[in-house]
Amino acid sequence: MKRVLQLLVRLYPAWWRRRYGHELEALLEDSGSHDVWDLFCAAMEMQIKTWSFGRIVTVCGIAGLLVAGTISFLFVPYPYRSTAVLKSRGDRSPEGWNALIGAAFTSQTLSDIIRQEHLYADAPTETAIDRMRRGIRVRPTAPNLMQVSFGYEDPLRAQRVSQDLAGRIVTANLIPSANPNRQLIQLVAAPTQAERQIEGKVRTAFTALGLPVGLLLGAILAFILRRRAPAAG
Amino acid sequence: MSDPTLLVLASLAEGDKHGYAMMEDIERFAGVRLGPGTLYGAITRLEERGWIGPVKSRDERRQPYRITAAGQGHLAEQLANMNRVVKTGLTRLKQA
Repeated sequence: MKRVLQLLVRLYPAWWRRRYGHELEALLEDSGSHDVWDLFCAAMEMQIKTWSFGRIVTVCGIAGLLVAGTISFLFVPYPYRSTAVLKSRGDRSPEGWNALIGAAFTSQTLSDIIRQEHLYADAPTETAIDRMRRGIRVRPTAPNLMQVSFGYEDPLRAQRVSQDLAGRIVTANLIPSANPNRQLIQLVAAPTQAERQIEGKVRTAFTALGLPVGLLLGAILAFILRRRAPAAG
Repeated sequence: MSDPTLLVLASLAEGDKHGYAMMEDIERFAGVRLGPGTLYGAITRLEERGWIGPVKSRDERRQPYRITAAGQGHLAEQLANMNRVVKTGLTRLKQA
């Protein structure tokens, strides 16, 4: 602990250590204090009290960006995504694909899959359905080709659900209202082994938020330090 | 009263003291144990403002400090303000 305290004393700026360093060390010896946090905060305060307003705000902004980036990469979940490809015998318009998807992915269908695969444990049904809809991606890659993918925290379940969703589309294609031209549809690429996906938008947004928050906190900190500084004259 | 600078001034109003003596004294009269960083942060600010100053001592590691006339003036002003608030609060409590 003594080494930690000595290290913390070294965090103070050199001008401060020259003036008060020996006294602080003597106080630490006499009091037997191990208040590491108090010493750290005071050392940081002494470090930044000589900084300009701009420097404090800039450093805090960068620190905010780094902290938010670290948090987002550590805590924003990494879903696994598995993708299947369906092929229609004839070309379909985007509206045609949408009608088919609407008929295939009803709330009842999704609710059945959620129950069957035990997805989103503890979440109420409506919430689970919303989350599942956000996890499903349907993307026409050509007028007669459609990619269906599903993202989930467990790779095996992502793959099984992706397979199930593709099957539901094939089944819905048998409903005349969803397939007025009676075009056959088939699975041409089975769901891939789920791969880890970085939810880029969420992470980027969260990380970017760190910058204005850091700048704001820096401005507040600079303001407080300026008020605590001795008045000129 | 939790402002460390006022606590240090109040402690030095009794007489010259070094850091550890201030820490003990403040704990006795205010019930607050200032951390070493907080205490020396307050000492730094007070010395910069000219409200306290070092006293010559043989032991440089246990440097005593003394309150200056400006420091006494500031302390008296702050305590008078506090006293006014305390009196008003007590009077209003009695009336309630």
